[in-house]
Amino acid sequence: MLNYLLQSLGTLCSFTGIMYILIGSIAGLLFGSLPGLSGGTIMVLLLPISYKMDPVLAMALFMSIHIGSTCGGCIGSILLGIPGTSGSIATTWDGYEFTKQGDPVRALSAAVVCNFIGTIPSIVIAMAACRTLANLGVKLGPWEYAAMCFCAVCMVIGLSKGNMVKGFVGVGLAVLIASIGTDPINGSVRLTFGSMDMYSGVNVINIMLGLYAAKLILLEYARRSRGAKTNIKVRRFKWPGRDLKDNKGNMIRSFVTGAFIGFLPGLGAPTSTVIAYANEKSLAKDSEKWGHGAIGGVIAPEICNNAGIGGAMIPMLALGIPGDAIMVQFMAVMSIHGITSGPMLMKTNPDMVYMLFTAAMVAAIFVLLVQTLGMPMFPKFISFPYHYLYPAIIVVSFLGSYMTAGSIFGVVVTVCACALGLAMDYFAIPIMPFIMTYILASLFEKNVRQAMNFSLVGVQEFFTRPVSLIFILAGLAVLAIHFVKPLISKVRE
Amino acid sequence: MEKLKKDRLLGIIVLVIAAFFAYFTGKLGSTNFEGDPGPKMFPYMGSIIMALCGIILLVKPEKKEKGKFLSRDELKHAALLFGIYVLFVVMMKYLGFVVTAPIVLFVVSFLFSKISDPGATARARVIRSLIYSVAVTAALYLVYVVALDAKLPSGALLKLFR
Repeated sequence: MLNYLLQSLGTLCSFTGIMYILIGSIAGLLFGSLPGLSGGTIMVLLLPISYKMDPVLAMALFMSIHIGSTCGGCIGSILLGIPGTSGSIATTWDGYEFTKQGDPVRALSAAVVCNFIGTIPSIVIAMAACRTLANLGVKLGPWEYAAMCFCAVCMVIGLSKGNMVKGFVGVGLAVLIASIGTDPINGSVRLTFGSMDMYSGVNVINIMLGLYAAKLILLEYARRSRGAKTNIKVRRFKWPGRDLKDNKGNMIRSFVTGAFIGFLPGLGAPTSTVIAYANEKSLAKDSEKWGHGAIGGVIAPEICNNAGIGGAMIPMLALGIPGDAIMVQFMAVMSIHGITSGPMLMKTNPDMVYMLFTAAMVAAIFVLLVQTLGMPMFPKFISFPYHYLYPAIIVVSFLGSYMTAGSIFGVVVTVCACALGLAMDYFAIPIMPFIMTYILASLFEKNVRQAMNFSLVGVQEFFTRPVSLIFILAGLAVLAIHFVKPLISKVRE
Repeated sequence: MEKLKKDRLLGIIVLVIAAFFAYFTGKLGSTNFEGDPGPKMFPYMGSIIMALCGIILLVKPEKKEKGKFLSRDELKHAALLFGIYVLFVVMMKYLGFVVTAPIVLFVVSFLFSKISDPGATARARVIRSLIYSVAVTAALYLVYVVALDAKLPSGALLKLFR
């Protein structure tokens, strides 16, 4: 392990490596701090050109963007009261109060340090857990993998609060679109409707470019988003020693919450940060101050947000099951280079796995440096003119679509995905179950069919193998909870 | 009331999609592998999920009201930009990247500058958008063609003149 860590550190210490990390961190910070955009947007845009990069360095670049974006979300939350990313919503509640009171530096300094404190241990935990989980993963058969995919999709459907039927619509739609192209078992062509372009299926990158980039810009224009303009002056970074000392328990509890929820598919930072905030508010001695400028209300969500980074990496690297939409993009980068994530990844491409860990830690240090030294520049970050940013995003996303498919068909798919995304928004169909199912569809189908093929007793074997049964029951339990919960509250009323 | 209509409309759309895919799945061949449910299983599974959802949405639409997705004005703006997207695809196919990119960049930048830079005069916005579109096209060309050696669409129409 140490060998691989040193090797990846050596690669990162080259001029190219440092540039990748530096550019990635700054780009992530910029996109993460801009309300409406996120690191995910720039990652989607870079996906098509990553095939030209060295795969290991491409992973380093994407990881540094991810770290930068996760850390940058707090800037918009604190200075504008508008969260830069969905993981920074809870930071807004207290962070912006500091700006209103004329002391944004205190909140920003605490957030910047907490971002770093949350990231490093979560990566160390991920490093240890991935190895153990991957060793277990090698012993699993197609029954267990199919059950795991089922469980992951059920957990994401569970997030379709209020209307699970629409979560299922997203799942069904993803299954149908993922069926287009060549069958993963016997190679027969299906549902291509005579189009040669559809033989290899509909590429997930083209879909993501439409669903995330093209749709986002379109909605920003439709809603006449002006971008942020602020006259706030931010002074230099101030070490938040006392604030950290007073919030030791808060930091530990929020870290555990973030790391654990980050590990569960689909939930991610928006859920964990709100839970951490609510939990700490209920435990705080000065709970009446929370929501009016309590530093604990900045520390809890920021630690929690970054603690989820390592947690989300574990199922993606060790089992090939993405924890969130960002991990889907990491899987897409790997697939561009012909690498499949999962338990064998630690054996076949350990250099790539350890590069992810090393890059995350190095990027966390870079981001900390950039944020502490560049704090007075933060208002400039969030005032970047949208009329220069958005047109370039549109053209880059369409160019990326063209490059991914190698033809105009890719751009057509992106425009169709944008229309699909708009329709989904109109009918309130959640996107997460759709995209998670789409990325897991091929793995699920392959494993279900292989399991049926290998099995002597047919479907029964899914229920007689303990690990498979546990995952199936867990998935069903998650769905059942969401069906039963409203009934219980009705009975109580 | 609008929500009720919306869910029922979604139910009908979902049922149509399910029926469409189920029909074409039925035309697929079967497999030779023993025990393998074959290539029909997965699309049928998707169709069944969709059909069930469609029926539930038709029979029991969500009663909770939710805010409007986009106002009439916003919808117009959305349609305008979507039209530009479609035009982008068509232009890229027939005119290629070098002609399409600056035009689209100019138009979109000009449209956005009306919102995010309302203080500037129309003339200033046109000049800035022009400079911006040429500069970004040149930068993209350098990155994609020169640095990444990527093959960008050269345009079916322009090929005829070469």
